[in-house]
Amino acid sequence: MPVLVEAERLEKSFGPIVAVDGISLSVKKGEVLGFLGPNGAGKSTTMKMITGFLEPDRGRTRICGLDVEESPKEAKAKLGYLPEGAPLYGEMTPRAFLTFVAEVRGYRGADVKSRLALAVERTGLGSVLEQRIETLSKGFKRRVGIAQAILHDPPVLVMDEPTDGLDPNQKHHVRELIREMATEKAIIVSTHILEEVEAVCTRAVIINKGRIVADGTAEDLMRRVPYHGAVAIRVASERARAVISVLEQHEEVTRVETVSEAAGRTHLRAIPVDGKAIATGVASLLRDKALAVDELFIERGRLDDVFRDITTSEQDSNHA
Amino acid sequence: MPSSLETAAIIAKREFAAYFATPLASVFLTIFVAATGAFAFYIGGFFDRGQANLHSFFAYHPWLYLLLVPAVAMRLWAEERKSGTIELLMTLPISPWEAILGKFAAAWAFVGLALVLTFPIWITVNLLGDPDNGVILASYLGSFLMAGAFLAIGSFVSALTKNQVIAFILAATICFLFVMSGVELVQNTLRAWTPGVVAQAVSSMSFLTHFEHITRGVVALPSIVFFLSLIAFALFANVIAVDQRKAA
Amino acid sequence: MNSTFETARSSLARALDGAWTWALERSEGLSRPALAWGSLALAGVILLSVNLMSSVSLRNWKADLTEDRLFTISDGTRQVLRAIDEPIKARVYFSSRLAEAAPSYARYFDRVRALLEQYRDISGGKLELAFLDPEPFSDAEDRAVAAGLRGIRLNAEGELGYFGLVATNATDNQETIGFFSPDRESFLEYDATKLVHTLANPKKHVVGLITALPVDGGKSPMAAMGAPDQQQSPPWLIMDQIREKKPMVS
Repeated sequence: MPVLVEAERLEKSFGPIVAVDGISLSVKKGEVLGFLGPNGAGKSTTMKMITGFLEPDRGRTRICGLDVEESPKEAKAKLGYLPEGAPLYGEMTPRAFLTFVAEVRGYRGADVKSRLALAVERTGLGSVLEQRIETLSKGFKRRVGIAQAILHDPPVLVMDEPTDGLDPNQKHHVRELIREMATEKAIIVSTHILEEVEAVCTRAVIINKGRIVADGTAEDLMRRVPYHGAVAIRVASERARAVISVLEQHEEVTRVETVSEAAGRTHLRAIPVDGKAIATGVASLLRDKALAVDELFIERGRLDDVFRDITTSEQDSNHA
Repeated sequence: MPSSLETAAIIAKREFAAYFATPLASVFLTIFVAATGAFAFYIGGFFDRGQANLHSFFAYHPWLYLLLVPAVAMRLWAEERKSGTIELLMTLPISPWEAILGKFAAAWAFVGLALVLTFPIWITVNLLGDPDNGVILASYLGSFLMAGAFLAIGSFVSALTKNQVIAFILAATICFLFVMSGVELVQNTLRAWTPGVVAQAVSSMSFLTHFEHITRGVVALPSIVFFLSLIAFALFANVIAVDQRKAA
Repeated sequence: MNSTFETARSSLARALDGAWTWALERSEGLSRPALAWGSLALAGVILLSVNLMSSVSLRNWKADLTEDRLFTISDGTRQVLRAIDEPIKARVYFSSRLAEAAPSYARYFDRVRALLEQYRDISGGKLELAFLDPEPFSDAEDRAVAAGLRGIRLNAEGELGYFGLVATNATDNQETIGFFSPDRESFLEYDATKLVHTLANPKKHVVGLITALPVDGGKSPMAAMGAPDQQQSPPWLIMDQIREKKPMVS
C-alpha cells in the first residue's frame, strides 16, 4: 500500500513556546491514524502544518508525494481537511457553501451538482441544504464541514476532533462514515477519546509536549496500563477471601488485588501473567469451585491512565 | 484545476454575495449615498453657488472615504481570522494572491456599486442645468480609482491584525496621511522647509492632488499610474502579510 | 525640470545598486521574515520612483474629457508660448461679486483660468500669472481701471464687476483684454495667444536715414563705371549698432 502522507521531523515554535518538537509520521492508504494527546500537546499544530495552513520552522510534509510548501495547490487538491471547531461561512447555506468549495476545486456545471449530491448523501444533509449555516445545530455544522472535506473524494483526509461536541448518535454516524472511507484513503483523526481510537483507527500515536511518546494499535496503547486485560470480579464480601485464594493458585494469575469494598460487595482484580487472556480460565475455575460471583468482566485500559502512565514515565526518565 | 483568474473570480463572487447576507451592506450603501448627497447639496452649498456642476459633491469624497472605506476593508481579513474560516480558505487549493485579489475585487465592486447609486444626483444636475458631463464622468472614474487605493491599503492592514478596531484606525490613519499630503497648507509648509523635489515627490504621492486634477476634467496618465501602482503595491504587501501570519 | 529628473534618476540608480549588493551579501543569513519585509521595502522604493518618474516624464499624456475641451491647446499656441524670450507678467482680474451675481461668468472664469495655467506650464514659467479680486474701492480695482479694464454694473449701488487681463513684458509694453465676454468664447484661445505673441515680439520702430555723408559706407565714383576691384569704405560703426536694434530705411 502506498504511503500517502509523510511528515518528516516537523518543528514549530511560537516565540518561546515549543509547540511541536520533531514529529515524524507516515500514513498508508487504508490506514486510519489516530492522534491522541492532552490539550496543548501539539496535535492541532501538527495538523495545521500537514495541511499547509502553518509553515513549519523545520521539516516538511508530503501528500501523495507532493511537498505541501513547494507545491501547495497540487498537494491541497489531494487533501480534505476538517479544521478544529469546523469553521464555516455562517451566512451561506450548505448548498451555496458546498457549491463554492466545489467550484474552487475545479468542478463545473453538472459535476458540481453530482459531487454535491454525493457528499450530501453521505453526510445526511438533505434536509438542511437551504438553511443558513449559522442556524444549524452543532451536529449539522460538523457534517457540513465533513461534506466539504470529502466533496472531491480526496485520497487523504485530515480531521481535527471530528466528533467533538456531538451526541452519541451523531458520534456513531461520523465514525461509521470514517470506517466506510477508510479502505480507499489515508486518514488522520485527532481525538481525546480512546474508545474512538478503538472504533475507528488502525493505529494511533500519542503526542505529549510536541513529541510522539507512544505509537501502536489501540491494543498496544492500552497494554501500557497494568490492569489492562485484568479480570475484574464483584463478589459478596464474605466470599472474597475464598475467591482470592482460589485465583492466586491459577498459574496465569500474578496476583489478585482488592480494589474496593462497599455495601457488602468487594471489587477484586486478577492481574494476568504477561497480559495473557485469563477470563475463560478464571470463569471456569470459579465454576468448578462453585464460587458464585455477581460480576465478572475484563478491564480495559482508560485513556487518562495511559496518559498518566506516559507522562509519569517521562518525568521518571527526566529524573533518571 | 482552474486558472488563477478563475479562482480569484470564484472567491470574489462568494465575497460579494456575503456582503449582502447581512443588513450591513444596505446600511452602508444608504449612509454613503445620504452622506455624499448631504455634503454636496447642503454643506457644499450647491444651491447657493448656483452652478451646474458636481464639484461640491466630489470634493468631499476623499474625506468620506476616509471614514467609510476602512470600515468595508477591515472585515476582509480580520473577520476570517476571528471566525476561523481563514483556516478553511488557506487549506483549499488556492494561493494567497488569488484570495487577496478575489476579496479586493469584491470590495471594489461593492464601493463601485455605492458610487453608481449616486447617479440620481448626476441626473438631477442635468435636469437643473447644463453641466459638463465629461468632467463629471472623469470625476466618477477618479473617485472609483481613489476608492480602490483606499481599499487596497485597508485590506493590507486588515491582514496584519485580528482586531478589527485596530485595523480600522490604522487604515484610516495611513489613508489620512495620503490625503493630507495634498492639502495646500502641507504643500506650502514643505516647500518652505525642504528642497523643491521633496514637495513635488510628496505631491505626486497624494490622493488629493491626483483626485483634484482628475475632477478638473483631465485624466492624466501619471494619476492613473499613481492609483494603479499604489493598489498593486498594497496588494503585494497584503500577500506578504498573509504569508507572514501563516508562518507566525 | 529635466535636471531634477536626472539627479533623481542617478541617485536612485546608485541607491538601488547599493541595496542590491547589500541584499545579495546578506541574503544567505536572512530569515524569511526579514527577506519578506525587505522585498516589501524594495517594492516601496520602486513605487516611489515609478511615481516620481511618471509625474515628470508622463505629465503630458492626458485625456481631456471636458466638453469644452478646456485643456486642449493648439500647436500654433504652443509654438508661440515656447518662443517667449523675456518673461511676461499677466494679471487676471475677476470680481467675486460678479461670480455671485452671474454664475455663467464663474464658469467662464474656470475656463479662462484653466487655459492660462496651461499657457504658463507650456511656456516653462516664462508666462507668469496672478489672479486678483478687485473688490469695490480697493487698490486692485484702481489698478484695473488704470490699466483700462471695463467693468459692468452689478447692482443698484453702482458697484462694478471686472473680468479682464492685463499683461506686461520686459520692455514695459502693456496689452489688455478689457473684458472676457462669453460672446467671444470661441475666440478665447486666439485672443489670448495673440496677446502673448504681441508682447513676446514687441514692434520694432523703423529708423529712416537721410544723409550726405557716407555714414552707411561709401561708394567710389569709379564703381559706377564698372570697375569691379574698386575699394568700398565700410559703414560707420554706429550704423551697425542701430541696425541691430531697429530696421533701417535709407
